[in-house]
Amino acid sequence: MTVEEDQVLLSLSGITKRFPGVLALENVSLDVRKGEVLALVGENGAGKSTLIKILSGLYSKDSGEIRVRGKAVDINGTKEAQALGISTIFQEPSLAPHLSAVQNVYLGRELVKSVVGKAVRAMNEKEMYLETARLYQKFFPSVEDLHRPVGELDALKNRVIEIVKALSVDCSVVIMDEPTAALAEHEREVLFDFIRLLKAQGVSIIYVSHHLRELFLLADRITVMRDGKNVATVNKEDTNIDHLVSMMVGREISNHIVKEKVPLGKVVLEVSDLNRRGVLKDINFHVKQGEIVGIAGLAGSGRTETVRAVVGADPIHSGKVVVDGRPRRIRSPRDAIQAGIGLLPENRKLHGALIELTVSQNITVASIKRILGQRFVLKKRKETLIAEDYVKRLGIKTPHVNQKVRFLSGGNQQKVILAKWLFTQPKVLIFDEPTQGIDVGAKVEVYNLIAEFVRDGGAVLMVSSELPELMGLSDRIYVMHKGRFVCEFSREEATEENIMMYASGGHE
Amino acid sequence: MNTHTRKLIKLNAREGLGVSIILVILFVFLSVSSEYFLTVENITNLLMHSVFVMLVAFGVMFVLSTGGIDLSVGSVLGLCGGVTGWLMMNGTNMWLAILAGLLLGTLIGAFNGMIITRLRISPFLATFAMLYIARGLLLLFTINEPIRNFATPEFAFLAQGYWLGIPMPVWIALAVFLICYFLFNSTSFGRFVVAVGSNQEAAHLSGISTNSIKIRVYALSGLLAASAGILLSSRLTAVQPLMGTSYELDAIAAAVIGGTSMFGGKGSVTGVAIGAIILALISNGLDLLAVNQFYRLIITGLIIIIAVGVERYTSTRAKTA
Repeated sequence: MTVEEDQVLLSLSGITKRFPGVLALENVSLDVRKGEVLALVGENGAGKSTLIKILSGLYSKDSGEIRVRGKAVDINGTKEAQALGISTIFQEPSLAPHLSAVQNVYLGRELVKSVVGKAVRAMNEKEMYLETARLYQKFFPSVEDLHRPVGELDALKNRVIEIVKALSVDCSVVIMDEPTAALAEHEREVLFDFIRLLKAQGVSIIYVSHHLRELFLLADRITVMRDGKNVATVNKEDTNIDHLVSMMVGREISNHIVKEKVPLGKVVLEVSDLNRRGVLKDINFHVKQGEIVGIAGLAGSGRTETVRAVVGADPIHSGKVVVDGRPRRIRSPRDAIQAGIGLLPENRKLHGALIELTVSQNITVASIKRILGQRFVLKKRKETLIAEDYVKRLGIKTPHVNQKVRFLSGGNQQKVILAKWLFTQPKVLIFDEPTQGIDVGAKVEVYNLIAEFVRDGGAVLMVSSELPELMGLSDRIYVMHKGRFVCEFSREEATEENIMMYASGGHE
Repeated sequence: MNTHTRKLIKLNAREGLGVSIILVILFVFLSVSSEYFLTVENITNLLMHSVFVMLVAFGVMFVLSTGGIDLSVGSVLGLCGGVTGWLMMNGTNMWLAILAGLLLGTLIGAFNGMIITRLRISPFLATFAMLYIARGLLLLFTINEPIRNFATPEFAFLAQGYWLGIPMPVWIALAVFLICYFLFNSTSFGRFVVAVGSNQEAAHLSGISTNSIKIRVYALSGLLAASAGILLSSRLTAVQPLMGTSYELDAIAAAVIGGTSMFGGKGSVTGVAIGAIILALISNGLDLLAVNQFYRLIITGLIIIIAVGVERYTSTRAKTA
């Protein structure tokens, strides 16, 4: 394909970046055209983050050339990147939660005006407000939120304020790293509309995401990275998800969810009349031995709250939990573990992994009694052997079991957490967003481990925002809306359309 | 980087080797620069001086490892030493008085823990308030007459006596060191302490009663501060109203120099012991070299920065390697 020189806004050639012991980027070249959405995909560790950090001035390249509008440039520091018209919206929200939208947009470059002669200068609040409002109104008509602390606004508005912040510095390229991570399904679509709006104004977008389906709604071209190299750049029309996945992992993964038929046994977990005032209303469900039960719903519908209530992590106002036919009083996660229920929480870093502890310490922490000898002494040799066994069985990639978990990749951290719960010998495992933020290869491994657990007679309750994952694994799916279970589908009945209809309240 | 240095750095990141290096450097420097340093008397003297801060610092290390902080230990040290002395002055049996002092320290610590977990007041504020309260109580005890002339020979033996040529406080510190080392490294309690400090929410979801762990570390911190206070009152045979002032800062210094993280999840009993010895070494060295003690504060501050800086450097190196 031939592209006119003046259409190329940003061009990288031969970018190489080396960290001690790792070649993070090797000879990466790509062009970003004016007004296009270029998607950047690849497994974790493929080099996407390093590349965007170089473009946003956080890292410096070892070699290679960056050209902006045909002019070779050096980007040393974020200010220089901004001056060149490159803005980055990182995966983790980077707004100061206690400041208002206006204060955030102008953080560090506040407009000033002279008050008394030229000696005293004050912030020009009005000018900053007007400019912020002008940009914000492109997306939302109402500007009354602009003076509220952004921490009080929802995730979508936060994303929009970050976009406004980028636009306010006259940027021509916006880099977005997993911008939909914290968004619910319908919010994602609103954000996509906004991105198309930006595109129509001639802004180029580099869009980094694990959600391959999203890309097909949005991207013009897709660049696939693997092991620090640029594998290919393809037009959206010339590819499909399977093709992309095979380029990302370097091998064909066809139909990466394989559902095994497992005979169902008796009811293992039965929850009835679960209520938490203002959050959960009359929740009833059950899970059988060998069964995977999914909970679908939009963010904020009460999915996470339901599973947290079941294990006693949040208080409830009423509700009965029966495990294996025995009523259980569960008032803390500790009671839940004794009853045979384990929760793998959403957001690994926040709730799941003890990153300062070693792999073996993480695996044994929830069932420490099992490695406790006489007089409260931990049997460390036994602990090591147990941990080594799990590392082998679950295929956890770590140099040794005394490695701190912080040094493991996301997928391996998730496997360590799974090992911790398997070691409690649970009857029911509850997974909340089990594959959030882990790469395709690791996802498949997590699916296989879940399947193995139910094959061995376990029962699984699973919350997931990724419908293909939920529908691919579950035997039954409950749909939540506004704190209630509004519908139940068998595996055969469930389609994306009818799940989304109930989840978004379309049945009302 | 070759594998040899990498191994060294890994070891270093794990078990405060950095702080040991500082200790050795100071030790060698002082041995060379003062002929009085490397004598049996001086070394015993130095170790004995380190004991009081060391005992308090062990407790503070446990608290810091959960992600908390205990600023009340200096006042608790003074109050509990004072109460033990006051009871003996009024004719209470020595062992009963000691027990009462230890019990009071434990209770104050547990009370700190309750305020922090039940009322959800930040550890900094809760223990900061207790710093005032405990000090105020000691002032009340000493308002009419100073606490003195209580030390029976047996009581004075605790801090002034020798056994096998080694001062009693050093033996006591050694015993406490072994108990703390065991608690921290080999029991589920120690494991839960770092788990809570590493990620409280994850620890809670893993079935750990995070509140009970917190109350226990503050109680332990109070107990150890009380033991230091009783030992100090035996050493001084009188209790001044300001006894133990600013010990909380020395204890935090010893813990931090020993590789304890202020953000929780990381601590070392050995490191704390070495940290406390380093503090005593600085003081002792300045005495021997006839340098004004005011320099002690400056040097301590610099050593904190160096120790933590080296720690940070090695752990980031270990990460990228």
